[in-house]
Amino acid sequence: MEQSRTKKFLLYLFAFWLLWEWLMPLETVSDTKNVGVFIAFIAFCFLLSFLQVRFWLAACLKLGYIFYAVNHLFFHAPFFSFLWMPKLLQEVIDHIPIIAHFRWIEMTDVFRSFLFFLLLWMLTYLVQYWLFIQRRILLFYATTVAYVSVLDTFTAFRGNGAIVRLVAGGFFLLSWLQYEKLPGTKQYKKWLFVCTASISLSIFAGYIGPKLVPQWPDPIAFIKRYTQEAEQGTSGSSVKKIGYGNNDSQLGGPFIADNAIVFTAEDKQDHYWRVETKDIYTGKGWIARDDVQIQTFADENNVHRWFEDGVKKEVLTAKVHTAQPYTYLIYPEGLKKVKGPEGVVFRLQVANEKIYPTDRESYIFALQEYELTYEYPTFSVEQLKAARPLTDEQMLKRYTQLPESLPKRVRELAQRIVAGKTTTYDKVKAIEQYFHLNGFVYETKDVAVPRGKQDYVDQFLFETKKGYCDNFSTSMVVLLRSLHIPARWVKGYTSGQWISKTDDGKNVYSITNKNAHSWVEVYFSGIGWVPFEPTQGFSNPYEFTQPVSEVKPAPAQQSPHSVEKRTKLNDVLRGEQVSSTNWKDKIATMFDWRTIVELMIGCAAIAWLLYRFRRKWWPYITLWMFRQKHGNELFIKAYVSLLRHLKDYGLKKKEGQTLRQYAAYVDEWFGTKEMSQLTNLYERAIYRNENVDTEWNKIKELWENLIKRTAS
Amino acid sequence: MLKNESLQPMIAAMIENIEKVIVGKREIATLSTVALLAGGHVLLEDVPGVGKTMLVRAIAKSINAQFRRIQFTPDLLPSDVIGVSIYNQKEMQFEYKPGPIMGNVILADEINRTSPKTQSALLEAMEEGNVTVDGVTRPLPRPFFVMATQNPIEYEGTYPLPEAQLDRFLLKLKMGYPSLAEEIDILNRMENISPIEELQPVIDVEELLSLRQSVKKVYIDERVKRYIVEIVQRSRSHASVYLGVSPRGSIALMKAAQAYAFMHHRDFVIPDDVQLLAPYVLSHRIILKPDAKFDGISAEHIVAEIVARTPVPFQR
Repeated sequence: MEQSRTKKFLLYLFAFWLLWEWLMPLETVSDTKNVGVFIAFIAFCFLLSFLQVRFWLAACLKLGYIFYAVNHLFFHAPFFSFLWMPKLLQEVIDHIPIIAHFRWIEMTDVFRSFLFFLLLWMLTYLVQYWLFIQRRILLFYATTVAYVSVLDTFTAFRGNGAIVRLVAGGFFLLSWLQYEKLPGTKQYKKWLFVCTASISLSIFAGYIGPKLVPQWPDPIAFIKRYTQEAEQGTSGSSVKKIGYGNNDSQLGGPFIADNAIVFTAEDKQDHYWRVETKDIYTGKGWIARDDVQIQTFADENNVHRWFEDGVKKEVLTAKVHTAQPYTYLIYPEGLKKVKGPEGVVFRLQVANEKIYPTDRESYIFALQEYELTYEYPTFSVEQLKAARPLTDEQMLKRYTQLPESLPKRVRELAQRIVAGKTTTYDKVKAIEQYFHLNGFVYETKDVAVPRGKQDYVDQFLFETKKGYCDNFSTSMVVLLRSLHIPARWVKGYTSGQWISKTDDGKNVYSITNKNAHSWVEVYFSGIGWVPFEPTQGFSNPYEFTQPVSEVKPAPAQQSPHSVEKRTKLNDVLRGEQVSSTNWKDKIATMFDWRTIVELMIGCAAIAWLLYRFRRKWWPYITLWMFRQKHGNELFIKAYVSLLRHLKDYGLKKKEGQTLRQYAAYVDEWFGTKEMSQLTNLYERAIYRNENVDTEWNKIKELWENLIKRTAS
Repeated sequence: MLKNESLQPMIAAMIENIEKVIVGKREIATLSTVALLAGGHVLLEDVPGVGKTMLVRAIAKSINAQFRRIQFTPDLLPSDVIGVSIYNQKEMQFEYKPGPIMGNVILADEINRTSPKTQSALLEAMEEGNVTVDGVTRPLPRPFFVMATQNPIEYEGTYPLPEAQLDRFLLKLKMGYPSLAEEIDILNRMENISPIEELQPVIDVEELLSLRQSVKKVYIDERVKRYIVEIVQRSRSHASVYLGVSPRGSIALMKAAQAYAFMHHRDFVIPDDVQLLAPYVLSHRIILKPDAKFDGISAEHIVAEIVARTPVPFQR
């Protein structure tokens, strides 16, 4: 008795230790604090089990501990005042919708800790089950080793001590459990000696043995290179889904554009639709200037202009109809007039050129339909080339801002690109062209996020060269700024997809989330803000007139349809499946040879797995089958099937072995008497030709127990 | 012996009785009882002084039967065994003087020391159950149980029993020396009065005969019979065997198994009974090839090997 108590205690210690190894790294690798509280909790759980405290009492005590710890860590209320109770209850209630909608990020620390306690509670049961009932811990042990080694490899956690502990203690535990399972007389001391000696010998050998330098490249860099996407998953920036967001301070990461319609427009020309501009580059993204200056206009915009007088302009009108009311205006550059509902005043935020419709008391007034009058510019290349550098110091400072952290090589690259170019326009065009020629790829999925101190532009220009409009436009702005060319980053939409023509000759465009875009505006003295398009697969919708003498292929002036086509073509080139609405095609793709081969391999794998793990499920099928069956001599069939299962389990009856000898062997293995009892009955059935159907019904439970054992 | 099986109370009492005299030889006691119940005879092969005589006497006393002892010597004549007719001058006729064989439990000591003629006289009596003297056939008393002994060490001047004769013994047993503790126990028991003197009978002859009838009714399934025959037939085709077990051996094995099952409260034979008895029933019925003997292989080895390899029937 005393012996078994000590044994039990030792096993509990092992259980505690294994879980402890799981908790120890948490402080290093996660934001978990006060790990001690959790460790104390598992120790408490195991202690209660060891003392064989009744289940309900143990549950109460554990809950008490959890409440006390949560209160102590978060609420700081006196425990017996029970003030924490409504708070905790509120937390739980608040989290029901959060869990229901998988908004894990919104979970509070209180609730997370609470859940963590519950998880640990369950884990203690699980480990106990493995150790005391199943008497096998290999799976959990291997998981623990894997856990520690992965943390050691990929995080700041150093698992040297943990690994040595795990090898020594874990092997001891494994061999102990195996020893307990051995049938027959056991030589405890011999086993202890052999076990201890072999483990210490192997640890000693491992300790003194020569350690090779890493044979593989650093797995982190290696994996990073191949799975940038996965890496970004862990960095916290999830896949962006919406086409147009307000926060651009952390650019990068994959981007899923959907086809939800944002607005439709009736317009004569295609042009960019602006929403706002941002001009402070942080090294990670864009933020707006902290400037609250607002300019107000009623319907005629006489407060802000984008082009100087020297630019050739055409006055056009457009109608915008948004899918849902928006609190800001979507407008073309050169906006002159807005015709909205009666009494609406427009307020333009000077810092980012975002225009908010408001009522007279300056409450935001979301608009869904409005008519715009704007000046559509046509830029003369000659004029642009002749533009003088900007002299306005304040403006120059504002639009050539760059972070101090910008790597030098970005500036050097800019210098290299524009080498030999004299005019600002030529420089700008050179940089715009640079993105079309130097291996840059338009990509929305496999897009990196700059890590640590890495610069967003630097990463794109020199490392990944893969990205979407934000990468291209931001990089162009930064390159220009490094050359002291005033430039800014503009967000909005492209002209969208052409749908139809109205009776008065206007085009109807549909602009979806997919058309969200960002581009570049460069300031030319005497001309104004001129848009440029560095992004691959997109083209500048504005017109640039060439002097007649210069024979140069005109920049691709593409209709909206061809823009769409180009994008789509790119998509196809990237191997994306364009969703086919033709069901015949779908079926055809389903039954191509590759699918069939994959299916066959899959089936074979499943069949193999089923066969490989038949011991786990087949006994239960047998149980079920025999529960359904009725009739005479069922017992003989059941017994023979039990023999088969035992054989599968690894307890094979030898040819010359009698049933009794075999039953004794089986019973010794399982520590039961059931097989012998069954065998006595079977002997009567088979060697005496006795009808044992009535006895079988009484003894059936023994048979079921044994069948279940073969499944463990 | 089989585990977890209780004995018939009468049998248990008898074995207990024997064990009072013979220390630590439960197996021998049980097997002797098997032979007694199956109506067979036992050949005890062992060195002198290990308690063979004690065993036989204890059995005789337990069943309250007449015990006779015949010490076989080279000059012993058949008439010294089966008896002789003497002319009674007063009655004016030949009168049958019964020999020592006219008893229930006979100890035939050192049977290989006597001439084959005398040996066969005994063995014939064993087989037939009666003796014929001067043309008159006289039945032997019932039960008639012979325990013959032979000394395997001294071969000088002996007449080893031929195979045909050995076949008539149901079992061949070896007593072997007692262990240290057992031998000390023997000394303790012998200090005062020999326990054999105090032995009380547990069953009488009539009861034994009715038990024998019951043994014959023990059911033996076709499958088990087939198993017995298979074991016996394998002995005939074994590479090291010159002469295998005869059908008489099969019958002996079956009868012994029936007795054994009966002793253990069973009215049917299981392969375990067969396996357990096979070495005792079959070993002395096998003649090994000379080269096998030379290799140190014994008949017991071969029987064990055959039993281990013969598939046990366990399915319909």
